[in-house]
Amino acid sequence: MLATVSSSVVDGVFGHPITVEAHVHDGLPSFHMIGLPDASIREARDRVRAAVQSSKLRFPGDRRITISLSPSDLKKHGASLDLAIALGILVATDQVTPEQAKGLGALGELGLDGSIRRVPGLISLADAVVADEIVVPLDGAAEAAIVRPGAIRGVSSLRELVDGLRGEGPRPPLVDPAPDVPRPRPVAEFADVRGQPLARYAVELAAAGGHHLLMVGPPGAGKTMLATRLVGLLPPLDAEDALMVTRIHSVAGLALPHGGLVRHPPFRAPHHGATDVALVGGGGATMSPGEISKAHAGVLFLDEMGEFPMRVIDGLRVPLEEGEVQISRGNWSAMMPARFLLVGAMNPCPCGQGAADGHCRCTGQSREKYARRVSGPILDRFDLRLEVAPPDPLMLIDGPPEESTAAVAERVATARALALERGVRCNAMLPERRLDDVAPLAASARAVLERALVTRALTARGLRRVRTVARTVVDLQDGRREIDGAAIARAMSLRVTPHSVLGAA
Amino acid sequence: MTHDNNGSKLSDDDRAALAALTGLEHLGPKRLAWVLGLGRPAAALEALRGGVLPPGRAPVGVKPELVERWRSDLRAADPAAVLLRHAEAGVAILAPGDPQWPLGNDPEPPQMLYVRGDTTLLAQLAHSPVVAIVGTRRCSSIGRRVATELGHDLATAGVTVVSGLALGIDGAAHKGVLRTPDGARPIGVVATGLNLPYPASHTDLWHDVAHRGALLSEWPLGTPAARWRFPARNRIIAGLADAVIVVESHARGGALLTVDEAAARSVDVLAVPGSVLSRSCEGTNQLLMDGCAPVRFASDVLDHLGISVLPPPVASRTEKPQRQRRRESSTNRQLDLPLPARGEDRMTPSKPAAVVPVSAAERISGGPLADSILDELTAGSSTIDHLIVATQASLPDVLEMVQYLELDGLVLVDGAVVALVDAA
Repeated sequence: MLATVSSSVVDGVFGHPITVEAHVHDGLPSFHMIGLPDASIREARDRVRAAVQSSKLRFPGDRRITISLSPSDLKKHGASLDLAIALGILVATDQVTPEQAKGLGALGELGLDGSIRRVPGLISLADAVVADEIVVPLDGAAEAAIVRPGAIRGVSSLRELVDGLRGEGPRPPLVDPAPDVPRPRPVAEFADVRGQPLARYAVELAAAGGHHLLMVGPPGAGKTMLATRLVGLLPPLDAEDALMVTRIHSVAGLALPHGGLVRHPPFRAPHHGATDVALVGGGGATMSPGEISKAHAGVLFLDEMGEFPMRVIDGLRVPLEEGEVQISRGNWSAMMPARFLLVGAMNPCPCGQGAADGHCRCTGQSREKYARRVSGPILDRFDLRLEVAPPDPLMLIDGPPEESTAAVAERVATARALALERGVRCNAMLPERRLDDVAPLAASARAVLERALVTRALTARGLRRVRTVARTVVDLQDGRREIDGAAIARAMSLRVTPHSVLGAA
Repeated sequence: MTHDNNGSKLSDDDRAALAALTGLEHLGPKRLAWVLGLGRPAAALEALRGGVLPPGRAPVGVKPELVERWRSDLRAADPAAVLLRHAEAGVAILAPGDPQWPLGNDPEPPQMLYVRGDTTLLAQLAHSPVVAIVGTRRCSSIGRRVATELGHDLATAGVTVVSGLALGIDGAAHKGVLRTPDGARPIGVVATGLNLPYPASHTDLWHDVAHRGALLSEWPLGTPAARWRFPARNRIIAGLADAVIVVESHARGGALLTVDEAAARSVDVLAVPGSVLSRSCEGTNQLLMDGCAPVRFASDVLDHLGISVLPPPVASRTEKPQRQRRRESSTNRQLDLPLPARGEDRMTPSKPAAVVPVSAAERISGGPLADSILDELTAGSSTIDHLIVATQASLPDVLEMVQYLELDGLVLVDGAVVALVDAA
């Protein structure tokens, strides 16, 4: 007899609907699974058999069982189909009637004892299932309900589900999404950064304009401290971003805040031992999002950027430009969002001391090799580049109190609102052809730029980046339409390529 | 074929034999001297080929296997072809006794010198002042700058500058020399074959020095870099010079080996004082403690050499900058800044970096803030963060003004550090 149950698998960061067909018939006893299942799905046979038997239900081990997963040309992986396979077999053997299971989709991994366990990516999975109601693991039900409110029933064991369907017990309850109450986010306080006004200003500009930021400085200069403060200055995610970030984090198996939507920009700081797949995403059979996707709509902090393998850093070039990443393996590809604010930090040279006072123990060659890791195209992506010196100790003790995260975040929000009026999320995304329109140059700005181009302090390529940063500089002040010479000069001042990094000859 | 060549005491056969002998692996000056105990070079070559061992105790480290290797290498070698190869490459071969031979009374002279460039320049060395500028490869930006200035100013004053073309101080000194259009011509002494520039990043510098002056090596074409050849090279530098200036040196390093060689030849050693906190000045500061004469400017060197012809006046680096002077000098100022312009150009070092102070009329900087920033920098370089405190101005204003000052060529920004451009 034949039964059909709707389910889904994860493909990249999105779900893909799958129809599970179960056929149980007389013949040589066997349990076959077709439709390009990978090893994790083929193992479902043993989990399903044990779960059905543990639940005091009958497993048709004396008959010929065929499970077909369609569409048949899509490679499938993961344990999300376990429950649908078990339910299909139970319907096909009349232990549950087709009417009782009508319009019901199923998601979840089975334990050998018949318990139903959560799987990563429930948001994307639930979104993709073609069914009126979906049964999901109880502890992931609130997560799934974010995208399918009123259609999610949470169950904790196969027996409980069957009893409910047969009317022998309570039907599994409909689960509501976790209440979305605004919570204060635990952020590192910006006021902690003292005695470094230049670095503070650069961080504020980066947050306000979405400009990628490179900080070069010796150990102890406070680069990591600055980077962790930056994410606190960014405004909360809008509804669209919040859902996408939640989706990605759910697929990646990251903990969601209180089981609900991710409301605040994420902060990811992968170690420099990360491989290119870990950073960009991909993998073998399973396409999982990399750090750049986990940092979508947030901050990706690469500490010790000079220690990352060149190949890994170069993998960032296209995502930085496109805001998403296309991962292709064989005949299979997935598009994953990856629009992040890149914050890089590195020492001036491998030993960290820098050449300024001769304390450096590096050879010229090792220094050049270190600098080459981030030179060229990637360096060009950083609109803001500055050398961070350790704070003046006197200002740490006697200096005036610095502005708090809340105060700076307010200015950042104002600047971001101005960018939205121009039709972009942040100034860094302004296309070049619109610069004349949204960032017209005053006469004083022309004079400064002319001088800079003539003396080659600035190249044509750098011109566009300086203009967008200058736009942010003005937005943080009063948001006037015209860009003046002062704003251009300030933007250029924050575009240093530290000498020590590039190994001046 | 025993006729004299250009009045030299060395025959062509001997010259060819020496060229072949100096091309042997693991054969330094001391071992070569041991081998030449067998007789004149051509005879020694034949004897060694034939299996005769040189008389006397073999130098440390020479094992029978090594001598056997030399022997088989020599059997395969064709001395005449080696000579021809150098002639074709335009490399002159000098031996003691040649009129151009520059190392007259050296206690440990090389047997041969391979020269690219003008050999007549070497003949004149005895009659003109020669100064070696040496120092660490891992120097500070200040050391690099001092070396460039010394090289430039000494060459302008007619002093021949000898150096090793290494990274850091050596290269910086010769870069300064090359900036004088008609000063004294540079001499480089290198430790590899003349066709194998080392370090590779100084390939252009090699060519420029060979083109403008002369490039010397003790080793034939094709000799690769080896650790032990550099100290050997240093003795030639010391032998050529009337005085050796150490610009920066760590507590231990190759520059101090040059100092030892200079002391062995009674050549004066001078040192540039540096910060007591800087590791790259530990060696030079120790030299000063030991009684070396200090060097601040090229004029100190000229005084020491007793040269009466005064060079063009050199402004004091510590002098308070005067607006009036800067304006006057700005029109005829040469591009003699060691640091390139800040900004994009550092990513593509091939582009020329241009920092030219503009005339007062063209300035975009000015006002009380510009004055107070310049005043503050007179006391020494600073950072943006510090300038905010010192001038009591807001960060955006300081950023703006520093950028204007930089575009006007009045200050240099190097990473976090802001420094005054010297009014030279």
